[in-house]
Amino acid sequence: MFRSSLVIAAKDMKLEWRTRESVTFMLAFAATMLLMFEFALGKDPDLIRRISSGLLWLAVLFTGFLGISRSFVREQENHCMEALLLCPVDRAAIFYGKFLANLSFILISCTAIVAFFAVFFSVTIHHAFLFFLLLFLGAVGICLVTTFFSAMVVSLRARDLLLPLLLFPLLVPVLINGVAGTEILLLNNPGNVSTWLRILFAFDVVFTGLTYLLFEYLVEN
Amino acid sequence: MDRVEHFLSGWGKRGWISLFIVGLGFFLGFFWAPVDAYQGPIYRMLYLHVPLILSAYTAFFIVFGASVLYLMKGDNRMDFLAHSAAEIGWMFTGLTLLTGSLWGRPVWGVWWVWDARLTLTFILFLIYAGYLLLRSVMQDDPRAGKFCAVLGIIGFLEIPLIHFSVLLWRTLHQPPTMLEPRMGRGNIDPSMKLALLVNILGYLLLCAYLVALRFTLEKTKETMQSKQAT
Repeated sequence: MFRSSLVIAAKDMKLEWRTRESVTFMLAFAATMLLMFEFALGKDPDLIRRISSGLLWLAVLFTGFLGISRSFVREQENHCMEALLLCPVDRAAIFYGKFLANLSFILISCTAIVAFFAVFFSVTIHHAFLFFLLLFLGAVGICLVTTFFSAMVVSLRARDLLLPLLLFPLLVPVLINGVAGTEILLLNNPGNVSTWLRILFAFDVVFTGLTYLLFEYLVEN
Repeated sequence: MDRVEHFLSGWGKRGWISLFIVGLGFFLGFFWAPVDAYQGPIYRMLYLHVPLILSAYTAFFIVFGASVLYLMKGDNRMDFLAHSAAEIGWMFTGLTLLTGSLWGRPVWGVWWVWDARLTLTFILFLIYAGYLLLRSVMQDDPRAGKFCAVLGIIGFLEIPLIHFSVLLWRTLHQPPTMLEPRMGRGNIDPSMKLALLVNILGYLLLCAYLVALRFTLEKTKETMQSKQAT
């Protein structure tokens, strides 16, 4: 199953390299969000620095949603999804292939968002390893849930309206734990970041299992 | 499922008894139980707020169980049960938020605080609103049952994660009095505890009655549709 997932992920990444559909728009959207933050909150630069953890995670969340929500739309064309389902692979391999490709896209965006924050808002990153580990675990969680639900709603008529309503309440643990842990690391506050890391890790493990068990119900006839 | 259906159709006819227990609980809570020393008479909102949320949690557990069984066995009656329980549970969650606000305003001075319990309740409200929206968007879609079952399972299993996250993040709510492990040696007056238990029983039975009525409605709709098709 792992090899099949890698093949499907490689297919999506190759397509993305040729078309540059998702990542370009994700990076542009991230930059636009920064502009909005500046206009909404920029009167007090110290305020932005103090709430930078929250703004960073909002940027990651919305950018990830924008880029990943369309990951199964492409498969609707030319009956590609039916062709994928006819392949002699585990159904979950299709999901994990999509997930791995989306994860690479969101990690590229996260790197850019962190760089934007460091440059435009003068945010300093203390304990870089823990910070990027937290960001990675959060990105995995966002990617798992968004990829799963984008597969669910892809063929529904109100998918663009429905997806955020289904998704964001379920992503609350990622947001809470990501922001709380990042706040300690960015502001060099006293506190133990391991609790937040552990809950994020638990979230990722739980959703990896759930998506493995439940994906086939989304795609079977 | 036959036994569950038998219980639901039976309770659907006799469940109006729960209204009497709810009425009794209302009398006990709002007239019989003594006034709280710190909050005054407004504390009586407890006798609505707590039974409502406990009934909602029970309904969401039924959604989870029925969703799992529907995916395993494909019995449409499980889907009807999940749908019915989600609707009633969502309504009870909304009423919990309303009663919580009405209680909180005189006690805390504001309509809303982002403490752990209210926040978790609000998130549950949104998750099951999503469930019902998905249902309404997929009204004529044969996959509706499966998709909603998947969402019902994920929504329920995520509750512990949300609970711990929100609890660690912030809490102002008082520590639980009824649900502490030292039940019976808690710090609640015995007459208040009796009134609360009667209300909890009444609202649980009322929740079951409403779920039974809703289930019967769904079954009747399906029977009519299958008769029209033939």
